[in-house]
Amino acid sequence: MQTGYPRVPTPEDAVGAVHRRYNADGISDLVFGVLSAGYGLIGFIDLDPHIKEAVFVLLIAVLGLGGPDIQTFLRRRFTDPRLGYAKPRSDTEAPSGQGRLVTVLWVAALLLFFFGRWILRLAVGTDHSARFSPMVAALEACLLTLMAALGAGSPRFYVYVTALLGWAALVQFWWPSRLGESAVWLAAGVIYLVGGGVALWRTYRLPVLDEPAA
Amino acid sequence: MTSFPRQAAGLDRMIHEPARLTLMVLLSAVDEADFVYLLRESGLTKGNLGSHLTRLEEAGYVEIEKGFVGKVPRTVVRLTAAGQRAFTSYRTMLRKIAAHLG
Repeated sequence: MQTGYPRVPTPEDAVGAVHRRYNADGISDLVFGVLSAGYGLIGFIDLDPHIKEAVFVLLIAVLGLGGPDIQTFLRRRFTDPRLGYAKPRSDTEAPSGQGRLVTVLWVAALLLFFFGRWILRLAVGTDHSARFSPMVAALEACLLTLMAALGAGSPRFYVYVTALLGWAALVQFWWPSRLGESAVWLAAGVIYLVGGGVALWRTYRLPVLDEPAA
Repeated sequence: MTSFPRQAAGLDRMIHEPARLTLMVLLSAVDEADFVYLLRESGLTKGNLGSHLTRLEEAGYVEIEKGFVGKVPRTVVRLTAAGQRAFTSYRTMLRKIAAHLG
């Protein structure tokens, strides 16, 4: 019996390993954290709502255009020498049951994000909709987080959801307004930044694995 | 119909070896991966990993590209079309054998 060999992974294990490696360094969390905290902070600045929306769109554009380059730079610098580089398969087969669920939830969250408030405003009026803003924001952030958790399978995301829901419940009780909504998004950003920062720090502390000379 | 012992004998020995099977499974889940990733995920030693990759390359199952990122050497490995076919055929055969065994 060969006991020196590790267990041969299943194909599902191998796919999971690529996803784990992709999320292990927390860089994706940091990007979402910057976006969410930025959106939350804008809410506290006394500006015309249209200017706020323009600033947010600008933030998304900067992260959208520069984000992949920043992530690649950070991964090459911190992650690849420690965890290795792996490019997930581009010719993935039809999504599994869980994959389809993640896709459906993503679409639902996007629809909720863009149309939920509008529908709520039409249904109960502007003043009343502001009252529910913190909880709506928390639910949106949680939905995004849970979907990421389903896709990544990282226990880190469940900690985010728990922290965010706890904070949103407090905000809903003490501060049910648009500013409360900003506070929830700011908190979500901080939670992601802290979680992502810790993950990046843990990755950075792993030993660098050298390849044999070419 | 091929008998069970013949099917078992027909298993691709290049892939059937546990370390190389581990590498084939890992590589089948990615477009490409580097030496460090395979080292970490397979649990093999550097020497073992290097020698098994060389065997797989000689069999035409993987493609190895050696390069540098800055001054650091980086070896990128990917399955070839022949490797992909061989792995699929190996899995099919293994399933048939498992069905025979119940």
